Amino acid sequence: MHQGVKCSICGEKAVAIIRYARLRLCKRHFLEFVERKVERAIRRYGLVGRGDRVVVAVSGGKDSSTLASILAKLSGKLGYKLYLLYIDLGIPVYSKANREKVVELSKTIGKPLIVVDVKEVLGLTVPELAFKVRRPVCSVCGVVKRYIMNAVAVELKASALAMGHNLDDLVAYVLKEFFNQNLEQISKLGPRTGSVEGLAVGRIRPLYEVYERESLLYVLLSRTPFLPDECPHVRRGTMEFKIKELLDSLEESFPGIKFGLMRRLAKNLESYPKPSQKLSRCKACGLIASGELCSFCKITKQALGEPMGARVREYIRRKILELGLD
Amino acid sequence: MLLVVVEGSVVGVFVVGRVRVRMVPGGDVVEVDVGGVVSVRELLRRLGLSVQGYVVVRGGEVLTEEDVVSPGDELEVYRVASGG
Ligand SMILES: [Zn+2]
Ligand SMILES: [Zn+2]
Repeated sequence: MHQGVKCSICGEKAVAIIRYARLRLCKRHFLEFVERKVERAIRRYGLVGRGDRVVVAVSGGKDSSTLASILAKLSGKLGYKLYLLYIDLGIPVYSKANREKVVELSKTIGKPLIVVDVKEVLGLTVPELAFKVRRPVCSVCGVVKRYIMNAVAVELKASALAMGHNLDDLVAYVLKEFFNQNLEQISKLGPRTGSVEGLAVGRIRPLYEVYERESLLYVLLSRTPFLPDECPHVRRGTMEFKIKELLDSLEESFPGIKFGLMRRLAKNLESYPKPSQKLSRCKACGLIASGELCSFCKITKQALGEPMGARVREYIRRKILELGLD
Repeated sequence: MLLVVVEGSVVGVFVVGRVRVRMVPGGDVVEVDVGGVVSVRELLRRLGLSVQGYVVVRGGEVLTEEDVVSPGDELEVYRVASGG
């Protein structure tokens, strides 16, 4: 009976076989492999600088836990400050369980956590808000999360908002937008997007070159706190899922093909058309908008009779003060 | 293999050829008759799952597709792709 394969570097028992890199790695060397990828992406794409403040939005899921854990590890060496943000959407069972998990994550990696509880500040959970405005939960959820993430980053005077998108997610988005010929959207799928002074903080994607499988292996092997449960509102069978399946079988035949696409895309981003939409300042809350009001202020005005952006910003400033993070 | 021993002598031999698999997320439990020792790759094939799409864990330890599982093992099979 064979004992399994051995690490290409040290000869210990391998826990991961990385086909595209022709490597078999033990636990220690696998964790280093993923951490190096993230560090390399940060340096190659200039994602963060010394003295920066970085906010990482954590959900309790594997990708944001991998990201937070690695960003915490690299923070000393690269000289930036890291803050975790959890948005409690008020989805029954799911939100509470994940909230407990990120509290544990914050303790484990030793970085401060800001929790924004949507029900506490709006008086409504995200599903309740969606019901009131008669829109799908996932679309309202997207608006609420985007708004709060940006608002927290602005209030903390952060230079970047780190997102947990992995390589497989990004390749699937690129392909979906390609099929729809939304080339301007593809221009936003690089390793970073720019900030708009005072209105919006740029996003960075340090897991740009990390496969989804590597992200799962990372949390499992490093014993980083995470929950594998899925949001009850997630729908399978959407185009995005089908594209992912298709890409997986392509990757099976041509290991590394996804990685190659994203590397080439990062080099070509400049040649994609930029969104032509004119940006403005929301009249109610002062953050980024594409018309008079931002999407968040529009939705909350519709549901509650009053735009709530300014209230949310005030709530966040209070939280930041309470935690002594200002 | 399960030996039934009565007062020091073997009175029966049962071959228990099953591994117990718990799917994550979801928590569904599946029992697979593997007969004897098989590779993780083969186990996933019998479950109708792709090697790259799933990670198999035994007793908290991550297995590669080349590792083997034996009858009586209790495993967790994590789906790689998560939504949302
Ligand atoms: Zn090694
Ligand atoms: Zn607004």
